[in-house]
Amino acid sequence: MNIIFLTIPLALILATFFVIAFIIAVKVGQFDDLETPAYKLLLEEKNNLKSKEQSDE
Amino acid sequence: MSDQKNCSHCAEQIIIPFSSDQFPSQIFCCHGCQTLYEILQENSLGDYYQIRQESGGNEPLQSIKDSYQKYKYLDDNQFIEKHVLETNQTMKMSFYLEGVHCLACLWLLEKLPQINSNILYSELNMSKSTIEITINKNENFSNIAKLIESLGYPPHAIMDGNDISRLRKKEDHKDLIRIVISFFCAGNIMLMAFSIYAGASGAIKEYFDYFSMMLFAPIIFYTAIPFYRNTIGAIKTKTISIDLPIVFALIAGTIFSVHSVLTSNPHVYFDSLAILILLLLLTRFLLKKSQHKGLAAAEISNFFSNIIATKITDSEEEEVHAKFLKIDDTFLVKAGETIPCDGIIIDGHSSLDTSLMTGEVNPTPVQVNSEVYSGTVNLSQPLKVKVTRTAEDSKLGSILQSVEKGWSARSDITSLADKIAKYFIAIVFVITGSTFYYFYSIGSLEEAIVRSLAIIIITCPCALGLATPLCLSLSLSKLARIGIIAKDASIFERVSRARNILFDKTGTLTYGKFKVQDWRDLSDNSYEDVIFKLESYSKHPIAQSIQIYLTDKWKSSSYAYEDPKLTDIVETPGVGVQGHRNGDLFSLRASSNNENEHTIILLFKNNTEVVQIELADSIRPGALKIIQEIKERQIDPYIVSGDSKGAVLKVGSELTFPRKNTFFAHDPEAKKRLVMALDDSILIGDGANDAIALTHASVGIAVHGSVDISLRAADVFLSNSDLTNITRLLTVSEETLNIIYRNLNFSILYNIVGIYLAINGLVTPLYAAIIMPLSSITVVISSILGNKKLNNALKADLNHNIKA
Repeated sequence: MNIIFLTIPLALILATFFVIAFIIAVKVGQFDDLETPAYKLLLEEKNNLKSKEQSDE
Repeated sequence: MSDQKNCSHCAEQIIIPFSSDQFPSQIFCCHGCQTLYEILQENSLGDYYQIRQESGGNEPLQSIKDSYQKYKYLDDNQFIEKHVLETNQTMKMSFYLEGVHCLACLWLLEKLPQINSNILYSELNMSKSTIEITINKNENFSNIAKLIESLGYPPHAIMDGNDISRLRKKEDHKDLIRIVISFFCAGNIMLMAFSIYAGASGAIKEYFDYFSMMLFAPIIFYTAIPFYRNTIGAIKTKTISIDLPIVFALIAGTIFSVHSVLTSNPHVYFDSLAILILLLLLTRFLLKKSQHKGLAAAEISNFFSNIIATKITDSEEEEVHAKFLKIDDTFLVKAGETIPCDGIIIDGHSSLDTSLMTGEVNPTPVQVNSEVYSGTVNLSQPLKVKVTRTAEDSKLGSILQSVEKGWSARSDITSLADKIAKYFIAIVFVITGSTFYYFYSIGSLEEAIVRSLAIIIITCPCALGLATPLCLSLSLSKLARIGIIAKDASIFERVSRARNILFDKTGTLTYGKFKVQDWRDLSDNSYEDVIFKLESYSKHPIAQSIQIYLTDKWKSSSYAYEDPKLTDIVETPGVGVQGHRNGDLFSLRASSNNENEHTIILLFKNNTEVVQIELADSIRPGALKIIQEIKERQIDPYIVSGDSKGAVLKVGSELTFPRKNTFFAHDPEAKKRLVMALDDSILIGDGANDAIALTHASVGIAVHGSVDISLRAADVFLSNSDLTNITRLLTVSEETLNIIYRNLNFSILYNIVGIYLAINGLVTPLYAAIIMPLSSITVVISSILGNKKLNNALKADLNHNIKA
């Protein structure tokens, strides 16, 4: 059972990374608008390739 | 005529088709739509129509207004400084857009950079209908605004975009971060606490205790800060806040638990404290979110001062913001424009839509020397006006000011839950104190601490601190889903206390619009085409009603309009429209003998009456049922209107209002006095002309009208004109309070039993900490489940909406 003295801190450190990731996501505004992105998903970008080529040039 | 019957751009049915040289296969209802279609095709954005069809948004768009409102004020240096976020090369600003409704709108609006290369970035928020636009510094926002309007989405600058909404965003971020940290800490503390409850002991228990203490640190030092802040605020203002016992329990519990950990005592309560803080933060966040849904009044409060005026100086015309117009300045108001300040007409004659100020549906004819008020709309001919009162001192300006005053005057309504909470907290403190003193005086410090802590922990006022806001926020969001937007949660109590309901007539009980009631052809010929053509030259609301009537009629009989080829069509404001054909004079006029409430329009062919059209405002369906339901609830219905005696009495008796409750010819001030004379009254009116009275009613409900004034003046805004929403609001308010009372009763019973057990030492703080969350969960579940009546009321709504 002594292994938990090691695994629990490890698990917490791992989880801390997720908390930090979440905080960063909040700060850049990923949770500001929870509705619109769902719609954006539905739009198929026909000239996606074209505009990508243009931006590469 | 081609087979296609709807405009290629706006999907409106076409009466007179326009075709494009560039796209001969398409037809349009007007030049505006044609131009727009060409703009989109030229910028290879033609996919818009495809997406619109696929996403089911193919209903007619808002038609493009003839006269572009001017957006010059957006380039005003003062304005930019205040409301635009500037960087070295870019400027950023937010707008509220009217008419955003489907996927295609989103697609198009986010493609703005493709239309104008100076727009660097545009991002739409569908739920709020706001768009954030970043542009190059060498571009003007007025151009951008015109472009957006030309696409069919009239934009309104969000004035406080820089301060209030940014602060709120920051606050939201902080709240979210607090919640997630609490979640992380509380979750892990719980895991360890479970194993201790399950019997972990020795080194592992000690290890877990220290770990819990470490994980508890962020909660007490960071996530609980809002509670400290509220408590300090409450102490400063010498009031008792519900956060006070929470903070007290938190600090006492922490000290005691830390002490227990250090001395290897079994009384460690980090888990229950952490869960308590998490649940409180979560419910408060949800409540705040549901209250902030939609546009905050503060954000759009300034739409009206955004009117731009054409100032005339020595034969020169200059566009200025209304606030820069001074007394004795002269300005020009074109047809379709809103008048920016009060003044006197010095040139021209026209008719005005004064519905914003008076609620009057009929256009008012005006000529030289007539007084005009800001906020009214010029309908037909250009006018030159001399300023008598600046925008701020104008009638509209002072209405807006008194609306503001009315709001700040009544912010001190305390809710029932708060009152109970105060007594509750005081009682708990007294009991805890005396228990502590009693056991301390008989000589047992440890017993004193354990028992008083057990009391504080077991008595956490969950039903007040947690279940009440949760219950309120759930009801608020349920209401929002059926189109009832309430400003804050305090309305439930005020609505259910109501004894009187006052209805405005025009626009609330009736449509506020003329509808053709009767159409009599006095000769054998039909003159529908002639009348349509003549009326298409007039901006008068009656003309529009007749056009709507005819288009509907033709649609159902699939009749195609034929141009009657009239010449020399002239509109004389306040009189009518006339035109010639083959030497015959056709003139359309209102009947001069106007005894009844109906308006009669006559078509003359060379002075002989050929058509009689009867128009009237009609009562909304369902109004009678609502009045009866209100009476059944023992609430007194009143009708109060600015209209004349005859019209009000007729509607009043049709809708079974008691005669003594019928008030006519009441101007906004008189309405306000009436509302103030009646206690606990709900006023239902349209947002604009009833604004003052709405703020003084104990609950103001705005039915329709401009969103900006409504949201400022009223507590509740009904976004659809379905009157049954009023009784739904009554039911929901009543039942929400019932659920809150249910929770309160449960909580009081629970607390009495809990305190009894704790004083007698029958529960230790450990068991108290286990029982307390159970009681919280009970009230939370009770709030979420609601009750049968509430759920039925909302369910009935859904069915109703599907049918409608």
